[in-house]
Amino acid sequence: MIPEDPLATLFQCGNTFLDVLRTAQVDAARFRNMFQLRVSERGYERLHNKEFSKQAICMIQLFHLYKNFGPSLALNDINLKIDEGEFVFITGPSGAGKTTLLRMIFGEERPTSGNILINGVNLNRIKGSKLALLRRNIGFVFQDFKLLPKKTVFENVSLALEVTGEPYPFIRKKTHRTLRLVGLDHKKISYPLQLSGGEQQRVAIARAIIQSPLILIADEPTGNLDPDLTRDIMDLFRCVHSKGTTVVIATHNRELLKEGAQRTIFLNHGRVAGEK
Amino acid sequence: MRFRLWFYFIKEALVNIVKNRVVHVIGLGTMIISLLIFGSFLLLFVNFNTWIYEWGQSLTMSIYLNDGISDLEKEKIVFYIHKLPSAEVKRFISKEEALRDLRRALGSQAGLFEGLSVNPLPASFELAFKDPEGNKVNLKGIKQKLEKMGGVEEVQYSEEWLRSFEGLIDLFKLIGFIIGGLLFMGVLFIVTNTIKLAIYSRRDEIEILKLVGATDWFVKIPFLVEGLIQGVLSGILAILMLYCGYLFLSSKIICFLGIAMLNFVFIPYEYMMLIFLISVALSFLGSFIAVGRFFDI
Ligand SMILES: Nc1ncnc2c1ncn2[C@@H]1O[C@H](COP(=O)(O)OP(=O)(O)OP(=O)(O)O)[C@@H](O)[C@H]1O
Ligand SMILES: [Mg+2]
Repeated sequence: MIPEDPLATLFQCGNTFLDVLRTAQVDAARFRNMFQLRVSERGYERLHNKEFSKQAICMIQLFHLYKNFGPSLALNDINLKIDEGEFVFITGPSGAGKTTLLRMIFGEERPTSGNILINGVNLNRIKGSKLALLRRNIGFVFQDFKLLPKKTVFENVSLALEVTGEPYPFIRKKTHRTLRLVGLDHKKISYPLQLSGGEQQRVAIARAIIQSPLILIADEPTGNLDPDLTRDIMDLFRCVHSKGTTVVIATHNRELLKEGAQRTIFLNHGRVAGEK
Repeated sequence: MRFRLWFYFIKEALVNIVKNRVVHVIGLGTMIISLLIFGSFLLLFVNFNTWIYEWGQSLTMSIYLNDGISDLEKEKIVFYIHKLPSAEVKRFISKEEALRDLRRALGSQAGLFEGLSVNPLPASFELAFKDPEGNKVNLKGIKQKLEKMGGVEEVQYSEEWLRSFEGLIDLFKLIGFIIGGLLFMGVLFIVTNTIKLAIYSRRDEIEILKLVGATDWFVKIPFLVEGLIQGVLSGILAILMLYCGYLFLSSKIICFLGIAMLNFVFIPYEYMMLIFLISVALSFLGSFIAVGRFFDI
């Protein structure tokens, strides 16, 4: 089999080689930077990553995860794999263990046994400042928002960048951009308690996404919002997802689940009861 | 970026202090009072020491001579005294002079000596020790040497008097250590508590800071800075107040006694530094303890 155009073949080979090299480079960078990347660089890296690495990368992996609270078993042998860039719902009846599961992924709760791998890093092995660096890569929208009532919207959102020690001009710019993204630019000097529930929700989301996290986790983000607001919030999550962030949402809002053909994991009594 | 972080830490600490100003003012006040008590003690100690030193400069020694002392022996004694680096012969008191002095001292009772055929009083040399550098002159050694020389009956010096003051100074030091120790434990307790309250009042914020990825030290350092500011402030204020008190007192003493009979001095520079450093070190330690013990919230 003789190639028609040896020069073209050579060129192609060269390109493939370059691609492999770039992928390897990106992988190395990703490994090194998982915990120390500057926020501003991360978007850039992810962009390149999408271009060059074809196969999906496992973002969250749970192996035989158990969690006891005293005698009661909140999580019972959970095995789960969520790839980078996925949009996943976790649902199930109240007390099924959704919140517990999300908190484990966030490193807020330690498993009784089993392993959690986030982007290849085992949470059982990290602690202290490494955990803090992990959290900078995971945005968490809490069920009760956890906003600081005595700080303005702007301060609440920029707080997530303050902790990274980024320069102030960068923080200001990025906070403005994020507030514009969630449509709250005009409320930046208000205090959380002066906002409606939906607006508070959006502040919480803004704070969660400002660090351009690898993973965005939301616990019951549409808890008590009307359908219109629910749609707005979901659009926001889709927008974040479209930029490459892995999104995991816990909910028991049936409407939400009906809408798309998203992957949905059913939890019941701390077990994975099914998947769609 | 380092600079920016420190800017953030100091800003947070100051915001904290303003927010919890009541707690801080009370803490600061108590700390200043503790430091003032300790400082006053130091002031008293320093002056007490100087007074004793000054009195020590006028140490005297009496050498009583045998009645039948020869001129040669007398000259030997004078020669020996002149060799002593700090001693000076104030005067020679002959037997007659001694009797006259005694009569004068007794006043109306002097009649007791009427009809006395022999003068029972010995002649003596009165010595003064100039600049004996505190108590370092070996008076005891001098006494022993002199008493071995011919013609000397007895040597007396203000030993007991001095010893009792030395004992007093030791007691003073001991009391100082005890008071200081108790006060410092109190100060430590105050700072720890102030910072503990500061931490509690911000527990929500601390929790959220940790949740958005702040490292432990990022959250802790503002509280350490807060304690440090308290220490620096109370140290400086305590020294200033002590100085004001000193100025007030020294003017009073001069008023009371006409000329300054007692030389009232302020604590030396090293002691000021000591008060300041103790204040800073204790407050830092206190906030360190608070941050270590009350942070798992
Ligand atoms: N900190 C805790 N201490 C003791 N038990 C807990 C704790 N957190 C959760 N649990 C228990 O674990 C189980 C799962 O709770 P979890 O909050 O994960 O449920 P959930 O699926 O989020 O429920 P909901 O839909 O009502 O939010 C429950 O039985 C709960 O009582
Ligand atoms: Mg829940």
